[in-house]
Amino acid sequence: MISYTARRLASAAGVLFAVVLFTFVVFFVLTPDPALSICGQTCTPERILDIRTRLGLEDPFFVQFWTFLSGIFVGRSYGEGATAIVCNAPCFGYSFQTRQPVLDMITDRLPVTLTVAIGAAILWLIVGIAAGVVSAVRAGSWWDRASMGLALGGIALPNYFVALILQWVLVVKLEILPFPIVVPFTEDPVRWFQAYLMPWIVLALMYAAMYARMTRANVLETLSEDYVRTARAKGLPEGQLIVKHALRPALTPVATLFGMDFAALLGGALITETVFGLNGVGKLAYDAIGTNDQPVIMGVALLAGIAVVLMNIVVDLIYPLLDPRMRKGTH
Amino acid sequence: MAQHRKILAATGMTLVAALALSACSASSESDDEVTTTESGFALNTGEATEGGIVEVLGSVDVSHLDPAMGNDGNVNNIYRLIYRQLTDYSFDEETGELEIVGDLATGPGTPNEDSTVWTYELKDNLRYEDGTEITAGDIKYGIERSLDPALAIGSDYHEIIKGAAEYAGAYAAPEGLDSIETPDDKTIIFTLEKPLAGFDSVAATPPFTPFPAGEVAVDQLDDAPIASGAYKVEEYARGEALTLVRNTEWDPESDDKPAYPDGFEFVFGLDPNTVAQRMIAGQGTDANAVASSTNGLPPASLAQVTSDPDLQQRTIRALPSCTMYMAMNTTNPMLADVRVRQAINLAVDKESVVTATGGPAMAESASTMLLPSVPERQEYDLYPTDEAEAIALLEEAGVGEGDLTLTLDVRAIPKWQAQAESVQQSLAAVGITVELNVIDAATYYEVIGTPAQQNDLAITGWCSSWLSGYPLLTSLFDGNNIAEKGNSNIAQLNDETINQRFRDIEAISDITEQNVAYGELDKEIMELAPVVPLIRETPIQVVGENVGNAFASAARSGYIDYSQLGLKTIEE
Amino acid sequence: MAMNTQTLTKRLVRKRTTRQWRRPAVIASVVFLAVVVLMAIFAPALTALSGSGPYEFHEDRIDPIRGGLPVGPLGGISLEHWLGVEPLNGRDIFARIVYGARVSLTIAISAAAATTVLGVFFGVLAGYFGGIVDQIVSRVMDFLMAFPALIFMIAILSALPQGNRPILLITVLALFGWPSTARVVRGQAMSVARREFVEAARASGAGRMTIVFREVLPNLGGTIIVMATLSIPTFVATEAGLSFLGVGVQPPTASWGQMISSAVPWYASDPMFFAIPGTFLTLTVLSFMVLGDTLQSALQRRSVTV
Repeated sequence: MISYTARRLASAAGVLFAVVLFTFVVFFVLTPDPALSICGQTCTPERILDIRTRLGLEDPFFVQFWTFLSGIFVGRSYGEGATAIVCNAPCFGYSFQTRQPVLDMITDRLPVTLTVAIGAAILWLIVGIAAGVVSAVRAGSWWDRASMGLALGGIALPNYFVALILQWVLVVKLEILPFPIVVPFTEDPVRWFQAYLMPWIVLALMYAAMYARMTRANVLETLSEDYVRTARAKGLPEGQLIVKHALRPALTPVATLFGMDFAALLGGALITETVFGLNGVGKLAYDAIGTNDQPVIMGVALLAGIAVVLMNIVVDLIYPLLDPRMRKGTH
Repeated sequence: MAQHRKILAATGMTLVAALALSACSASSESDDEVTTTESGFALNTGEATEGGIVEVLGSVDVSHLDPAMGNDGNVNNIYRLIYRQLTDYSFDEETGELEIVGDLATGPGTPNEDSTVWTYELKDNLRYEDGTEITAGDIKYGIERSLDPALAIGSDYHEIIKGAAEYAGAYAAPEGLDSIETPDDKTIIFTLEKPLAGFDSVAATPPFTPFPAGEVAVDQLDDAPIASGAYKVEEYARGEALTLVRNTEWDPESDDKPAYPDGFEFVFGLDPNTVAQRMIAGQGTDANAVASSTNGLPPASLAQVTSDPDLQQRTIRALPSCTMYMAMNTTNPMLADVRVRQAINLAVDKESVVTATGGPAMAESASTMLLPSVPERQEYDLYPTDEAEAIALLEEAGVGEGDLTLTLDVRAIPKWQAQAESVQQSLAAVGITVELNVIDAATYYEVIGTPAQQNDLAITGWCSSWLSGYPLLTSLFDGNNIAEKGNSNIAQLNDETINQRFRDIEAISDITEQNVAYGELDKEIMELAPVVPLIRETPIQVVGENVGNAFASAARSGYIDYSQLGLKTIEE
Repeated sequence: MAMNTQTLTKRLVRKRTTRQWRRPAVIASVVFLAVVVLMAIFAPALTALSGSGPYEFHEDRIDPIRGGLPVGPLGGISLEHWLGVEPLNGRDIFARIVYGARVSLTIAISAAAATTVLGVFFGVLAGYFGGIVDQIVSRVMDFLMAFPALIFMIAILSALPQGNRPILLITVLALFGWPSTARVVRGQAMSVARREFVEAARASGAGRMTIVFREVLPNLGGTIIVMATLSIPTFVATEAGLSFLGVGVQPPTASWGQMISSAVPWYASDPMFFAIPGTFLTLTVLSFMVLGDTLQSALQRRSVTV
């Protein structure tokens, strides 16, 4: 077990390094000159060169990469002397347009993204898994066909389309909800809930659909396994059968996928946040794309990649604990 | 309220049409004591009283709190809350009269005979937020530090001061400029490179903000301004909010500004659609809010506003401060013939560009390069849209249908692209093929400002808060201003007669005489048709129900003057 | 007895298979897809018929006083403009929908083709040849799948100049898309590689490439087709999403995702503007998924009888 853990951690460190390197290379190659955005409209070639040198952009690639990598651990500074810009550890880049360290910008927006992600996650897990289990148990019935049909629709509908429909129906036509404005929960819980309700539904719809289909398939598979048939033959009541024997192994792959999906959401549900105007990490990335603020885009991409890799490791380490088959080593 | 709106929507178009752009005379009283303009929006949203906090909702952060560096309509508007300059503008929204008044100075400056030396006297009892007195030497320091290359990205009209263009800035050369003299703490004298009858307008620009001489670090002010105005910065959370509170050391007697509210709260980073919907809904504290100058009403929400008289009464239509125009590269052999350029002017359907921008409420067509608020400006239209005449003129110049293909540089912003497409269609109708070259928003100005990189046509805007031909015409049409990089004379017009006219007019020392001359020059330049003036945008700003004294001010680039705002009623 | 059961099963399976294809959902999907494909192919002819191209402005159909809203109900639907017009410029929505279909389908199908080719290539490479090749390819796959693909695609596309957008999109989509195909193909290739007939072929001295092309690939045929078909809706949706965010196809080229993006501020005053492209997009994705699902279950049943 220990050696398995150690191996996974080592390989994960390797993947993380590759993620950082790949991200850096992509942005190094593609980034338009940040000196331009600092310089403003009246710019001379001398001034641009001066800014580039100050920012270390004239250094060779490996020097720049090393500075960036070490900056993640110990921080770094841009330029020298009185006009140096200090970016404290961990430094994931510095936005010259907003004059803030990227990490600060991200942590400012994280609460909104977390609220969206957690709320939606609760919703889609409950709805998706329940629908999947019921469908599996009543396979072939009209309920099964109806819910799988809906699930298909949920996957096919683009989330920005659902967002617009929902807004139009609930806010404009039926006037059930007011226009969503984010306020802190402590200030006005009702408005807070009203603001997040539609984003939660939009996000949860797609995932609930996927999870319903997957849960159904998994539960059907486990229900046909030998040990379940044995338990049924032994006279175990159906309810207990499902919960105790079929559900746990069926949910294991769901759990691992959930880890990955949730981690990806921490990179911000870009489209959902943009449509509803929520100031989360996703919208930060989207706005940065609009203003071509490359350090921010890079920082968000990097952190999202790291989050996913870390979640991968966590899932791999927890997997043996979850799946009794794996733990017992009988599979 | 919703019921009200639904009924109105049902009554429909006729009501809107009647309210919107009837040709009736200037003002009409409505029952709420809100005067309306002929476009149906409010002239002034009503009276304000002292107290309360005004919120300003916007999408983008302030560009720079250091007045040496910021130079756009919104930030200049904010500067007037926390800083003061030598002079300011005073605007009467009912008469449309705009005049220069003294802000830190007792009045407009006193020029010498040929307007090369300007003298200002300061008022009494001027203090910073910490109580220290503001002296003439502080103004001199403010100007000198703004010339430091690290800071000199804002307004640059003050480079006309003798030696300023070569000066290395207060940090590299602390001995300062000899051309700015301060014989005593209350007098400041400027010696200029050449005559400038409109120097009072230069003295109103942000670099003329005073700072304690020798005591300010080069990058300090962007985070922690030193207020000389009616308000000071209490807190600045980048990208999120800027909180202003009263500057208790500010003496109301020394200033014309009313300073009604106890403070301002600028909120940034809001989605533009969100701002529009919030202002229209006006719920809760949003009744005390205004949409920032950066957040004009999007066309999609216009119908909502124009169909509701209550909403219209709290909506202000800004005055135009920018002209969108299409520059034609006169060095291109195909465009060298003035008849071709005139034909293009005749062909472009400006109403179509207006429509692409949001309709008559949000933009008006332009036929001159001087803004409507410019004194002594002439209103003329040398090239009213006429397809047939355009075709005839092209034939005369030897250009047949399909002979001419031009590349139009356009910025990758949906509104600008729509305008470009509209122009493309107009020119297609007279047989000129236009190919659009969409350029990234961030690099656009670099491309069109570099003669080696620009193409045949380019659509861009030119704005000025200083209403005179000096800033509005010179950079664009003076042949001596063509630069290899950062070029503003995109048409690359280099006509000897016009160049000489510029020199002659700049030597005129009487401001009125000079303005009249610029008014004539505007027309003379258009006769050479180096550009096609397209439209002027009139952004629509919605304010909350409880916000009073909001009006469009030519003194603030046409936007709502923040320094005049206040709340109508204060809740206890 | 066994023979009889087998023949019986085969006949039953074939019956069920055909019956499955006759389900209303499947028929509707196939019909709809046929319509969309025809729309895309014959777009120029259709717009000639309807009278309006996708780039022309029709300013007489919008009301500038009301900010550019289309004249008439349902977003300006009329005899000249079958699906109405866009606000602010009055462009014909029907024309933009059919041209948008072209863009979406071309990009999605090309990306699916590219992804399938890459996926099969690397999947077979890793699954059949195994060893260190497998290690390398699997690590690369893990690595690429670890990425938050959407953000990277956006970042890459937004940084690139306004070049040939469709090619760029196809490249980026394929770059991040091949691992999921490759993973499945790898697994299948691995199991096929252990089968008796492959062993037999190897023993009889057949070259590696011959085995791959004669024995391995044909057995993967069904899987490949299903994966390719199922990847198309994902690419349609992703391209639409990228265009929605403004980094996909650039205006004035029509794309369904981009039309929805322009429609966002107008959702309250002109809901048809977002509803029409949104519906087309949803139904296209849905139809492809139903088709893919049906193919997949048909494939599974066929492999059951074997």
